[in-house]
Amino acid sequence: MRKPIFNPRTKIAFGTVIVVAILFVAIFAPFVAPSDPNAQDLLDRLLPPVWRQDGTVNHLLGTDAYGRDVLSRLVYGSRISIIVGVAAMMLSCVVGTVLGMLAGYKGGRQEALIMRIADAQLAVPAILLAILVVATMGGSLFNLVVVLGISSWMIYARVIFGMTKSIKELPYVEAAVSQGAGVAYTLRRHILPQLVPVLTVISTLQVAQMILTETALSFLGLGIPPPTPSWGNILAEGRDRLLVAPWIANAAGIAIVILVWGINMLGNGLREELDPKGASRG
Amino acid sequence: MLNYVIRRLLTVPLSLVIVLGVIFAVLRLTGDPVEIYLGITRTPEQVDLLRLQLHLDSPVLVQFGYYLLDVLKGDFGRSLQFSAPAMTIVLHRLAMTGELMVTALAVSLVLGILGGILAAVYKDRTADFIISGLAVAGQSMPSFWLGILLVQIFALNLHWLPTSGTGDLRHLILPSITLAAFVVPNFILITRTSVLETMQELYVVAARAKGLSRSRVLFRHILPNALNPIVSFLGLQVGRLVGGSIITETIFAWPGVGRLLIGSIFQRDVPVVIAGVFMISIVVIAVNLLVEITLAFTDPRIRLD
Repeated sequence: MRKPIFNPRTKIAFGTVIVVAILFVAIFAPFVAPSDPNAQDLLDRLLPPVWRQDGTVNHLLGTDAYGRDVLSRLVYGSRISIIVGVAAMMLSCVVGTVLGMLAGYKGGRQEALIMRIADAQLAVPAILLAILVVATMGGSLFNLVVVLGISSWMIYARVIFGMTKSIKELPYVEAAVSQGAGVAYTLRRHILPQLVPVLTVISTLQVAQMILTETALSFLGLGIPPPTPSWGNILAEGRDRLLVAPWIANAAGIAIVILVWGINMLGNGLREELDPKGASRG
Repeated sequence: MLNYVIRRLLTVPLSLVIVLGVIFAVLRLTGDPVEIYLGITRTPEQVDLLRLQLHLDSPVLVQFGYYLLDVLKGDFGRSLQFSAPAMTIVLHRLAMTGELMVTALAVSLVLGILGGILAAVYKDRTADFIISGLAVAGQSMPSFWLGILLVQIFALNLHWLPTSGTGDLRHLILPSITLAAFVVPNFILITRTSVLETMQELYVVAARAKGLSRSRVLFRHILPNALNPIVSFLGLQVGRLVGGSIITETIFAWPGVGRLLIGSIFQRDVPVVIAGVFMISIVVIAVNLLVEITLAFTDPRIRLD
């Protein structure tokens, strides 16, 4: 057996460093950002980044069509992506885990109902639902989180359902039930802890997915409305000026890749470390 | 087999009712439908007509019944921006989206399966490291930025390909690469996992032990058995591909359903939005059904379950 070039620990360390660094930037945005992300300066419109000709140190990554500092907008934009990604992940995790455990533990009619709905919803592209809801109700932070959260609970439910079904049969669970443990108690005390490693892996990878979907929605003009900066809407604004100011779109694109790549790295490392049998693949 | 097909077919109405239920709930229960359907320039006459058309005076469940009846008749109302039935407009655009999606799917199947097999065969060596690394990087890449990068490189700098629009085959290249990029990484990784898992099977060890060549073991013993997870994964990926096509069509001004949908949202053309969402869902559900029936056909374990 050859040794993998990147072992799981390296991946986890690498991913953690990237994620923590970006979290730090997001939390301390007011101190990190060189200027106000919404301050317009019409005399300094579409300045190129510092390494190009005409670039200035005042605007390291250049400015956009309103003379706003691209770097500052990226720093503040990270907040939206991270908040939406994490909050939507938590919502879908809670809904999916609860329903998955119920279906797996109870079986019978509950199982049929929950899993049928999960299957049916899997056939409907999540982004379509998101587009429909955001288009009618507007792209507020709350709406985005709810829509993204509700559109991916099935991923948890299917995995958790299968695991709960097999854990339920283990002798220690049977022993607890025969001593009179109730459903809620058994699920919380005896089944949930067994699911934690797999949940950690799925949740980490899901944050990356959520962030990508959020930026995609923002890119389509269906996310957080401007002028609030988000990585998706910076990229969308940059697209309209691709010929004269490609740095706007590219800066946002690179920011998204680094964050999502870091999270994926962390998630894949965690999967190899915590879930060697690959249960989280579903 | 027939039994299985019938059982699967029975789940289709449920999927459709869920889609319709969500559309209905979003449009009718989250606010005043008049606000959603008609813009700020509405006249009282338009409002009255809409109330009549949507049966807004009846109880919600009755409204849902009327709505289902309309859908059964294929009546999604008339488009507000083009003077034609909403469904007709969507159907006209379907072919363009289909062209894009089929090309992208073909590209991603070839690249994904080849890449996955290579990565599995050379597990933990340089080839695997590069392919898997690229796949994970690809999963982290927002494909809409990839599309924009491709436009910058091949259209704006090199002038090899057009930036957007339709016409000859050259217009198809950048959009289909962009769309394929949504699913290629997943196909690579799933193929790699599936091939690696099949390699562990005892019959593969037996085949090697009786002296068969590596390539014969790979093509006769491993690949046919590794194919099933890949095909079932295909069904799930169609949904991603649909989402991707909406974004890709927007980037490249490709006149398909996705771009129509986004345009209609900003024009507040609700009938077209509903017809589009409904049509896309039907296609996705149909493809998933086809995939599952194919699987049941090739793998008796599934239909006898």
